[in-house]
Amino acid sequence: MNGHVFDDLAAYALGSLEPQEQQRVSGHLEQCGSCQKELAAYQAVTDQLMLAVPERTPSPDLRARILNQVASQADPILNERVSWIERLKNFLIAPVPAWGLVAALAIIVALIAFNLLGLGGNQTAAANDFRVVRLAGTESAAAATGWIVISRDGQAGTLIVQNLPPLGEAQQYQLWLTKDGERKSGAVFSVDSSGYASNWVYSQEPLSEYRQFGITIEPRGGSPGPTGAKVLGGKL
Amino acid sequence: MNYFQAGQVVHTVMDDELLMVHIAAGQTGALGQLYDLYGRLIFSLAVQIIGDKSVAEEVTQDVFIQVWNKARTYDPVQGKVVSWLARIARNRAIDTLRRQDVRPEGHQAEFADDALEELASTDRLEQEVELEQQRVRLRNAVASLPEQQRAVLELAYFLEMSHQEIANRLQEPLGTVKTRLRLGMQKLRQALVEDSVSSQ
Repeated sequence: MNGHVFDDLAAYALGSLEPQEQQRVSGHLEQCGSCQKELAAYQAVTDQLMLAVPERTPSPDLRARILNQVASQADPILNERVSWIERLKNFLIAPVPAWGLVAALAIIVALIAFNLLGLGGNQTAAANDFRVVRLAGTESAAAATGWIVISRDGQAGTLIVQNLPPLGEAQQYQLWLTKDGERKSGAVFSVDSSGYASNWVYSQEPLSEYRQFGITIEPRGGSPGPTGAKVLGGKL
Repeated sequence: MNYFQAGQVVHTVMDDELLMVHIAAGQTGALGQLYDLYGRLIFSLAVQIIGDKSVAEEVTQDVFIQVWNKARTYDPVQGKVVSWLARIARNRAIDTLRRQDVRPEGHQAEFADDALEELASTDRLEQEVELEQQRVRLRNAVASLPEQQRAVLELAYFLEMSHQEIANRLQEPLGTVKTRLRLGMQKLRQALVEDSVSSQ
């Protein structure tokens, strides 16, 4: 393609072109892969320039101020949950130019979407360093579904459930991790009015060592062992 | 017994991308972990751009609130989490500066002018070690630039000045400014590529 804009791309990445120049370069970039590649290299330099700044230390209470403000907000995912899940589905449905370029999050996202679309196997899916366990609803909660995304080191995971019936004040759901016939509690949680919840899951032993995962209804605060109806289950 | 209450925060080392998954799922502990990794860096950038520590803290707070609200829009195909944060932070700080005009008289935004030695990696998170290595590469590359090229880059990066605005500020010909900016970025790009290759 003629009329490459290589000489302008460093300034474009920094935002230093005049509006007219910027428009011209943008127009060229839309149709030129070579210049897009060059721009990506300069954009990477621009992004990294933050690291060349002299270090300053903020007030010790800034972290708490941020987390307090976040805690005072409504659950950010509550109102956008549907669109978030739709986005996962769209991610899988939309043409993906090169799976090789998709990073770790995309792998997780794709795996979750895979299961959301009902294309995945009933039990587990694994890719690279992450594992996703699909939880299927029992007769007690046939519409319920869930996923556990297990981190690379196997020590931490996120539990996501949807369509679980909301419980009364006296009860909560409890996640059980099972291996060699022994069960341990992985989380005690409640769902919102739409039946959704997301929670961290923690175990002193790597989550990836557990073979079975189940969720039961228990008294508020959880039980030493499962006592109520099983609503979700899955195997690794 | 091994009980874990709903919403309990567990501090576990995680990839940045996995942190974003947790943040998108509404886990405040994950946002706190992201702050521990990158909060100081973002604040340092905001201080350079704005020149006022109090306003820079407000900007840093805004950046993390934006991360909290927009975590689900993060796309790893578009770049690393730290790059995403850097763009949000730079845009937010420059917007604030333009809107509030709070920069103290005489404040000069500039890059660190000293080269860095890499620190020992004992007892540090993987992300922290990687970040430190990147910082050393960048600081050394910037420190090696000729002063005139660095001055042009500082005005472009910290204040998002156009070629013409930089030329006016430095009282240099427009063509000279364009050349210095382009050469400076080319050298940084080259230095980072060479350093990356040599460290493999």
